[in-house]
Amino acid sequence: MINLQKQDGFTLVELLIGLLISLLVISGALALLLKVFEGQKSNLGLIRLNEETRFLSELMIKDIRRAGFVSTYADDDFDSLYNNPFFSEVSGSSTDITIFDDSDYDSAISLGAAGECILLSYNADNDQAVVVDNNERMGYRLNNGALQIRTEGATNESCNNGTWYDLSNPRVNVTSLTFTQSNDDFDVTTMIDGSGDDDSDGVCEVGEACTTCASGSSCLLVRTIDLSMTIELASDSSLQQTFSETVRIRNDKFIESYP
Amino acid sequence: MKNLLVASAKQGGITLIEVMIAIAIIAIVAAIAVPAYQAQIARQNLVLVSENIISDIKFARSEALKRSDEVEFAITSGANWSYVISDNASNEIKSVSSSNYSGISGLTLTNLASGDFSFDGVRGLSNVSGSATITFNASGDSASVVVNVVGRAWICDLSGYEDCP
Repeated sequence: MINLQKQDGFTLVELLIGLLISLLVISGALALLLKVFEGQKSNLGLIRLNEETRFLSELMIKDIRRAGFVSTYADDDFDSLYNNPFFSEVSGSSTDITIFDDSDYDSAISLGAAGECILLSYNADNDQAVVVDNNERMGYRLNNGALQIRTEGATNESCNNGTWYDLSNPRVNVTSLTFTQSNDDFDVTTMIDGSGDDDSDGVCEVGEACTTCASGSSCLLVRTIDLSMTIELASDSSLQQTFSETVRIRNDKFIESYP
Repeated sequence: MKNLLVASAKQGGITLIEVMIAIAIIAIVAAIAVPAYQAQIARQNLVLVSENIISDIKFARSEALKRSDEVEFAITSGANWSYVISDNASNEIKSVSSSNYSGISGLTLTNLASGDFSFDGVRGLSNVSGSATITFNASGDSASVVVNVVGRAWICDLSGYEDCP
């Protein structure tokens, strides 16, 4: 009566097979979960990189675009527009924008060549008897994996001058930063008298004499800066991003008598 | 049959000693868990106040750019800490004080002797020299917020975050 049902459990082999199957299933699920985590981590890293790239490039682009700005008082401050102190040139470096050689950051680089330091200035305080103030001498450069900003300086003839601070977050490394300037020249004198307009259609086109400034002529320089930056995550250098942009400087440089 | 039923209904309870042992085990587990839990709460408080000051610094910068005018961020350190965001004419835009938070026992500043910095309205650049550090203290723990020259801020020196520069 009491021992009515004889109980029989699993055999050892059955148990082992069951264990093996569950192990397979669990390890598969775990591998999947790990992949998801990994994807999430790299996504987060990319978001961080994106944010950093956008912030840094926007700041630089806006500043470069303003280079050489002198006055909003176009009607009653003709003098500062005509004698723009930001257009002065000392030993090859223009006060409003100059790119420097990577080797020592001390000498201006030639047009079309890439450098990793740029100095620029504009009339940030919009004063009317225009003075190039020290805090209007700004700049950006690459230094030991960090993008640095210059907040003030005494001269725009050297990228070693002035006060520089890290701008980029230490969680990212800026691995490359290049600025390249290219100019389109327009000989205003020959444009006006018509001698530079080879086909006499009233428009200064590519290849015509007016696109080269003759010595002694008035010259207008339309300047563009190509900016390129590569940054990577400090914790994972496989995550990196390159950003490139061409910035046209809004204030074209006017030289009354081209050297 | 009747006797059998009675015998099977005899209940075996838990002895006093067993109960005491169970209570003792619960007490030991709780003694270990409570401090860890409190530390976790302190950490959460620190993260909260740090994240909020970071978003307020960002807000001050965007306010400066929006107004094209200087915006000041003034911090008072100590146990009764506070910070005030104000415009160039000293009109208050936003103010936060220690009474808004519980569990934060104090605020200290590093590399920001004057206690305040400002953002200019052209580029949103602050007058912080390099970087300044704002440190919040809570029971047994602390968290720092680094602010750099463009008003970018991040948490450091807290478990799970990077070290401060």
